[in-house]
Amino acid sequence: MPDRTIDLRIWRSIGRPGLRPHFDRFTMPVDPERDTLLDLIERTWAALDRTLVFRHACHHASCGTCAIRVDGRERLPCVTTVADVWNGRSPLTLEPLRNFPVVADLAVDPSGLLARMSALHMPYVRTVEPAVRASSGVTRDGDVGAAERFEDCIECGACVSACPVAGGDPDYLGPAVLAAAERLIEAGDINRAARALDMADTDHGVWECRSIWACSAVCPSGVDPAARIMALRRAVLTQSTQTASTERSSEDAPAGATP
Amino acid sequence: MDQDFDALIVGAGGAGLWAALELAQAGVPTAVLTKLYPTRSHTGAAQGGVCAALGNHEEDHWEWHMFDTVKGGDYLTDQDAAEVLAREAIETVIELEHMGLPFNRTADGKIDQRRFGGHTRNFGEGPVRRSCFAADRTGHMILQTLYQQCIKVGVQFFDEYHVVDLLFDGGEAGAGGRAAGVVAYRIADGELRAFRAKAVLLATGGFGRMFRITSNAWSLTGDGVALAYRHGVPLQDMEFYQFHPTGIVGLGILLSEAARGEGGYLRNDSGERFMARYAPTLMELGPRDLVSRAITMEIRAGRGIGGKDYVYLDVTHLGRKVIEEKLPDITEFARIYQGVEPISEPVPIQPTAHYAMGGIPTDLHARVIRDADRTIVPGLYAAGECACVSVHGANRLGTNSLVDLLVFGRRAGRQMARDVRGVDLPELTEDAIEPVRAELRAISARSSGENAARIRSDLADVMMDNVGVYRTEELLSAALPRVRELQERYSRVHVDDKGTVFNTDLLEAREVGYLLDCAETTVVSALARKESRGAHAREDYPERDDVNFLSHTLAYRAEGGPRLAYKPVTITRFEPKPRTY
Repeated sequence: MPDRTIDLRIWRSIGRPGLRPHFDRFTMPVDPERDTLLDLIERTWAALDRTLVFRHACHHASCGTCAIRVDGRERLPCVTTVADVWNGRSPLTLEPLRNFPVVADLAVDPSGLLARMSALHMPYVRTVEPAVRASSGVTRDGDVGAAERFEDCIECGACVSACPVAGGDPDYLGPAVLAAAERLIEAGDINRAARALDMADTDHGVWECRSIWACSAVCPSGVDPAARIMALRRAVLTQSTQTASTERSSEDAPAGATP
Repeated sequence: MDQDFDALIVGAGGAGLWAALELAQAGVPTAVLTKLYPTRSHTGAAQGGVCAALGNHEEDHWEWHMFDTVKGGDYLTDQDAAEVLAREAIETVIELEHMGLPFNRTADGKIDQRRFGGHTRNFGEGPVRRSCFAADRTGHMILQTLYQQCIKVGVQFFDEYHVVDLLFDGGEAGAGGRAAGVVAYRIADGELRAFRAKAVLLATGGFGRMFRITSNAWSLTGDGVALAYRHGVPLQDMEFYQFHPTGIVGLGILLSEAARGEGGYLRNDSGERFMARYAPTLMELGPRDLVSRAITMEIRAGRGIGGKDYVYLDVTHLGRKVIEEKLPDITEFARIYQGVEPISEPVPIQPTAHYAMGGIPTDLHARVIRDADRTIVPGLYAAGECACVSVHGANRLGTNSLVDLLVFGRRAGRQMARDVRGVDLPELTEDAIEPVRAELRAISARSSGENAARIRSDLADVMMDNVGVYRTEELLSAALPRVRELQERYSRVHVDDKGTVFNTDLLEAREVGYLLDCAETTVVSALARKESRGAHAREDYPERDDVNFLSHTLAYRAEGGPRLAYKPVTITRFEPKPRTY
């Protein structure tokens, strides 16, 4: 048993009748180099407070379930060791993600984000890509290419939580969804790309982004949504100048036809 | 009844999703219930790949894949099932490609393939490149691809609906009854709802959480397996539980076999590639049971690193390019959890509880069977890890879990679509949900008693210490009364959280009950199997015994503990031979 202890301040919130939002403080034994934050939360729940609500599943960053805020910054607690975030003295403050409805305590309701991701059949439903695009995402010179990176999105919601714009407008599509839209365009399927561009080119789409780049800073999978939103703006502008003259004829084309 | 569908799927991993896709494409009203969100399912954690004899790099044949599967399973594999697996692996991989799964590619645009443990050319001559992959995120890609296809065709999803009971019409499953639906607990608000259907597929995955060191997600608690058992379906081959050789020390998180498939070495304290003494032909690419035993033997002989309980996985000679391109997740895990840089340092590993070969017995069409005569339970199906077809026999080969859930998930969906045509909905009485409501209320009503987390933790210790890589009469005999004592404590389990919102205390209490059923059947089946075969290694019976034990175990629920029966193995092409690599 480790001989060090850590204080956790954990947000307790509405969701249960009569409970006012507040922080609870728990003192737990800790081995900072070895324990992940999720280990600590789980042990707190197992030993000290069985009513603590948090989400978790795979425990190794493959499922995207457990994202929370730690001292104000979005983290996946399953891949964050205590030593990564703790100065050895102060309490650690654990809060639910922002910009999602809170279910209770550390658990938020991600269904809105997940529904948005699914609604456009993005990003995985598509036809086979040309092999020269190296759909592995690994380019010839050995870099892990851009195409791969989006498919690393585990829909954890960290980017949405970190985005100040998403906080001000619940209708804003947000970084994860816009990054997925950009991926569709990159994949080169013209019909899907057109739909993605239409979706992005709205007041709640790419133009609402304020280029704060907080999303990219917190993404645990290296998707880099901010860069993708910028690329998406370029694609929208390029398309709007190119297609202005041919708009009428394309509207007459039969559904599903590809030039 | 709250809701009627023609088909219900319990679990949204690869098997459940592919079945749902087939059903919806056939026009069958279908719902999927999952206690998570679909894309959080554990299929997404699968790293290494999916084997199919495409022969994109070198000659390969499905017959070779079938042979490897049978031999890998130490001849307990049903060979008709292995044939289906190996043949249909090819179609399913190509179908996935057409759905848009971004496989890694060869320079000329074909699906790239790499080596994996136990997969060989020409019936064991040497390793073959058979595993199709998307970096080391193959499972993630499969899950996402299938989920999006399901959305496209209008499958209805009930997310965070925790299935807590199965419903039958005309008697229990074990007594001729027909599956009639499920009862689900809505995690958001604690409401119990009945769902009625003509066909129910169990695709709930494994139960690795009964061990202390495991690669399995928190959610893998044997729900479908235990529920089927409680309704009279026997559990097959529960004594065969796979320990994956390369888990992160202490945590159990997996470092994929892909690391060895790409050429990684295993080394003991003196730097020796010790697999030369255990599997001289395949070396590190021996099957998992054999490699896990070899590691355990090295550790016992004092040749673990610094005399401790782990050895090294060494990929440093592969070079930065291969490691970063083909093993990115694994590399991240080593860096994050161990502070080790795999490009320049060997990674400490030890065996970790990984996969249940046993489970709910089914036929080749994923229909659940309830006895040695293969009597079908009408309307009930199982696929993926919770099922036992049996394609894995006594030991599963790497990647064959994905192959299994793809091939038999697809088969399940097609069979269900055929079976629901022209059939009426079963009868269900209004009080169908009452038994499970009473069970849950009894837990909530206790003002004091046993804490579910402590029972789970004690169970995980017993199973890890006594029912692990090596077993003996002594260890197993000691485990059984401890599991029974935990069952007795479980009868007094109580929860502190009396609320209805996201009550994880109550759900864990329910799940621990499932794990106890799985553990008890595992121990009882293991005690009775007095031989060593595949993952079931008895030190007191070190040899395989084909005279007495070339048969599947069936464990039936009975008063005073599981009752065992045996079912013959189906042998078509390959007579059992000594298993060397």
